[in-house]
Amino acid sequence: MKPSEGNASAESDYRVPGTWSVSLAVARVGFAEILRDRILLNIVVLTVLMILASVITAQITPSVTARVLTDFSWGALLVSCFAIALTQGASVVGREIERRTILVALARPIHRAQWLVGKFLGVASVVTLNGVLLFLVSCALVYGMLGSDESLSPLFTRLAAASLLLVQSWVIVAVALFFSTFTTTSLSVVLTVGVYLMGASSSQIRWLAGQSEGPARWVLGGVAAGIPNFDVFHLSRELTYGLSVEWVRVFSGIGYGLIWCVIPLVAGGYLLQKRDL
Amino acid sequence: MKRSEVLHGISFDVPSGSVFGFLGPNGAGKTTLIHLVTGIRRPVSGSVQLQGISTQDPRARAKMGYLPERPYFHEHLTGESFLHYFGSLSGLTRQEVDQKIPKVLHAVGLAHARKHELKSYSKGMLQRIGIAQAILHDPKLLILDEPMSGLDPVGRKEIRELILKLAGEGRTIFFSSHVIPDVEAICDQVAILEKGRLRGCGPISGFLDREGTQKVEVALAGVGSLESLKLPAGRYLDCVSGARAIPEGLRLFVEGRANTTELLARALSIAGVEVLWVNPVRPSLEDFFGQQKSEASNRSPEGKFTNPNAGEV
Repeated sequence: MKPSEGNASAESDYRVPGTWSVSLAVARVGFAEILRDRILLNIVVLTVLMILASVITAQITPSVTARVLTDFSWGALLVSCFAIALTQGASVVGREIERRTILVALARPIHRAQWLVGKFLGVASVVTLNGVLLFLVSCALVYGMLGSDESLSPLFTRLAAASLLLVQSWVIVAVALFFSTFTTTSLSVVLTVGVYLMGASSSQIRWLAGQSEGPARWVLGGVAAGIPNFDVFHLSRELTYGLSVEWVRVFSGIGYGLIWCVIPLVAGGYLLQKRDL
Repeated sequence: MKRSEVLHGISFDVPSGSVFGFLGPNGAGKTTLIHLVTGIRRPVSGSVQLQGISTQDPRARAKMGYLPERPYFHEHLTGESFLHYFGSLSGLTRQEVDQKIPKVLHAVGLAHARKHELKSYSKGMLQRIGIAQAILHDPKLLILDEPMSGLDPVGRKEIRELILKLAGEGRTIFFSSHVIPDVEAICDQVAILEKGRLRGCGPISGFLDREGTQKVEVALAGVGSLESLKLPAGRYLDCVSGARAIPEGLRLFVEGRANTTELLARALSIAGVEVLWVNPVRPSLEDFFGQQKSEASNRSPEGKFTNPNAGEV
């Protein structure tokens, strides 16, 4: 189709929005849409469970109550953030395509990668809000019940562990979004879980690569290098035993996580740009 | 996934400021072509350009507004927040969007529903808010994919009037439909697509006034049957495509103006015969479609449809 009249307009006539403006607009809509699904209700459920667990453990394991309660609240935080990151990250693109809401957005003067970054920011914001609220609840419970217990881990360790856990959740969102740009929601969930399991075993895979010879060494080394190492984000040992954590480790972990947010998003943006909707 | 060729060598001009109807049955390739023009799909070969810029380039889409077929929007948004969202995606500042929203909502008749969530909107209101987002950034080209699909007669009329109003503001409107009366009612130009091939393109009058297709409806009183007109066998009977008895007499459809004149002269020469009415019947695009189909079925399987208007992409 070609216009029968008129020349190309001046460059200034073509107003194209900036990446930040597009991504924030998409993120706002995505954030509100996910919250509307009452996803944060899981915090209420987990809080009730934590209170019950704290009451029970205080009675049956009085000597290690702080450790058990810390483990339990930490597990709740991990599972809650992981579940939201996985399910929302894997479904958000598919849902837009299925409902065809994506068509109007992508017919605008934007790049698809900008839209994908917006979707990432929307889901990551929900995960962050969920994580922060649950962290505050768990801290209130633990310090409220066992504030004088010397075996409690330092607050900085808790903050560091929570920060790294959130960054890990962002990485999971980015990986799930990457898979969802070219496959179905259910397959994205499966593949993301696969990447997580392999990434959580990254140290063992590297060790195995070091012990192997020939092609196996290269294959295992490639697998370990091609997926994020989730060990970086885990401070559960320090948390459980009340050990201190170095700043360098925390910030290098956050930096590493942010790099692993960017890599899947860049790849996913490229694939989405090529995809016929 | 196996790829198949959906569109075959399609090329046509859309005059600036026109209401251009893009007509074709379901599965003809209308939406595919629109997706190519809006940059949602990529052509397997060749390129689609708007004013010299590839539609894969966001700049080409800056001057275009688009409403998809049976639009579904984020239903948790209010009409106002929905327009804020699309304003941001169009490169408008918040201040500009704030200024434009009341005007646009007024233009589409939804000023009263700006604070309502989209889930409470009717189908017609959703179409209108969809058109509102398409015109928010004041595009010169508006692409509407089946804008009247699924609407009741009142809703269709409202959307038709809205399209004409937007066209009156100097926009070029390109809209697809498989409903012929909608296209006939508002289009200046039309392109007809069938099975991915362009079957015709040009001013709508060219399709409606094709030579040899004019039919005239004649109603006569005082005549019981065709035989009572005592027409000579052969010629006149061939030119009468339909005859039906009515209480006053006979209602006929006669092919061609010259035949009608002769038939009327013959009828009036008979005593007691009176002309009740003579109505020229404009051929519709439906007739054109029917004609195209019968021509296609008469061609040999190897035969190719030759269309002087069709070019190459």
